[in-house]
Amino acid sequence: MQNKLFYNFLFLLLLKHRIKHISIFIISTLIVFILSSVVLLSNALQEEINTTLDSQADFVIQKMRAGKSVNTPLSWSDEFREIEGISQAQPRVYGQYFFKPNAEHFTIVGIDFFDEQKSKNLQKLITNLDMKKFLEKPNMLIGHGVKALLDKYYFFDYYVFKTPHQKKRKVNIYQIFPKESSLLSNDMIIMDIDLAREILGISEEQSTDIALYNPNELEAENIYVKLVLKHADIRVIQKSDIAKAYKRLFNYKGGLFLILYMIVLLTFMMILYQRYSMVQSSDKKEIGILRALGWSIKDVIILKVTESFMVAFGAFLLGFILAFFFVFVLDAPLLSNIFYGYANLPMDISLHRSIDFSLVSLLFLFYILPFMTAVLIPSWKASVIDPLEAMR
Amino acid sequence: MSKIFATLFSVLALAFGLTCISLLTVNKSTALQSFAQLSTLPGLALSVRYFEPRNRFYADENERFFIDMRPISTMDFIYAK
Repeated sequence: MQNKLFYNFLFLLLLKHRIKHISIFIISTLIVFILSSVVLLSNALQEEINTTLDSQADFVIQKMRAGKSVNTPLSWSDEFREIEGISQAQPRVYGQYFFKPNAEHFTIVGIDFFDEQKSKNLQKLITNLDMKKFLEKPNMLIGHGVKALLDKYYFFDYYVFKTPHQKKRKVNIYQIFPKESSLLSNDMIIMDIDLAREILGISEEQSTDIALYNPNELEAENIYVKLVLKHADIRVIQKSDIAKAYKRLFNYKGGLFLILYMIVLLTFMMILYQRYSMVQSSDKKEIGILRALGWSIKDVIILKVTESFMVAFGAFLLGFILAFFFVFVLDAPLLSNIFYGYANLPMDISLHRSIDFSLVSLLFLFYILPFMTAVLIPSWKASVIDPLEAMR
Repeated sequence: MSKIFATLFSVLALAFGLTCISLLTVNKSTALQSFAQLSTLPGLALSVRYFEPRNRFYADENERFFIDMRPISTMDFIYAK
């Protein structure tokens, strides 16, 4: 049955019933487009973030006081360095700076530019960076979001920070981080560690927290226990906690859309069921003629199901391609704001094109299976019509 | 009649092909990784309100187990030797 003639007849039928199919095709395309956009965006963000996980510290140590994280004494880092399995203990200086004119926060990160590794990383990130010239004056490197905001207030070349001791500190804008790093750098200001201490009010005997590195993953659990037992007012954050948090963040927002999708899909299935249940007299005649010509019930069902599958598959393909274009070429306007948020500095990033094919196949199944289920019963009902009665 | 569908199918196949090509030919930038190595901070610059901390991913796992009930791991035996 399924030869060239069958498909020719199928296309004829599709063309004849185009009014019936076109509305379903448009709605289906729209549903697939919205869901695919959300899934593609969430997945691309997650992929980008997961690539940065390797650079994170294996443990982060914070000192806790009254349920809040406070500055950590530098002496702790020497103490932790002695634990077997810890290869490096790095005190970090960072914090948030409140930008009053716009009521926004910047993240100031202090970097020791004399550290060889840090200097290498910076050279990799910003080509043609003259370190000597950079360290001559109080300079800073800023993200795109910070630059846009400072420009808005006419701070084109510098910004005057206010220290907690009511002193003013003028810092020049040296360069802007590349746009590709905006997911992390958008609200960040990187400057010399001593300058950051002064602006954030962190004394020389303290740091914001301590990053610890452990090259052997098998030792992680053991080291964790040792760290927790060192002090009573300590908080130990493992790399796996950060990975879990990333997953939670994106699953939460993506999950909300999935719930909405379920509701939309159920409604759509009901509409489909009703639409295909309405067998018109011309349809009845058509089926009657086919049956009289010797088509079995199975053949008619195959014809009807294939007809619906063509519509569903076409809609899926078109919806997915449109979603790909929307997310990776147009950078998902409007939808991206739901993931990045509206409250703080506007984020302008281009996502790296990536598709998780297992996710695409899951999307396909989640869409095609309910679609075909909704169509199958009306198709069967239509095909069991008595041919004589139908043609009368 | 199937010419119309053949044309439509060709357009869809072409669009799909272009999507695949753009996916395969993309050059991954290492800027994000380099920045992560430089700052070593995990918090995303996703917009947050002023009362939300930038590093909101940090969860307190201190009370995950009772302090005296240390879980035995294989490394304990290695250290014991």
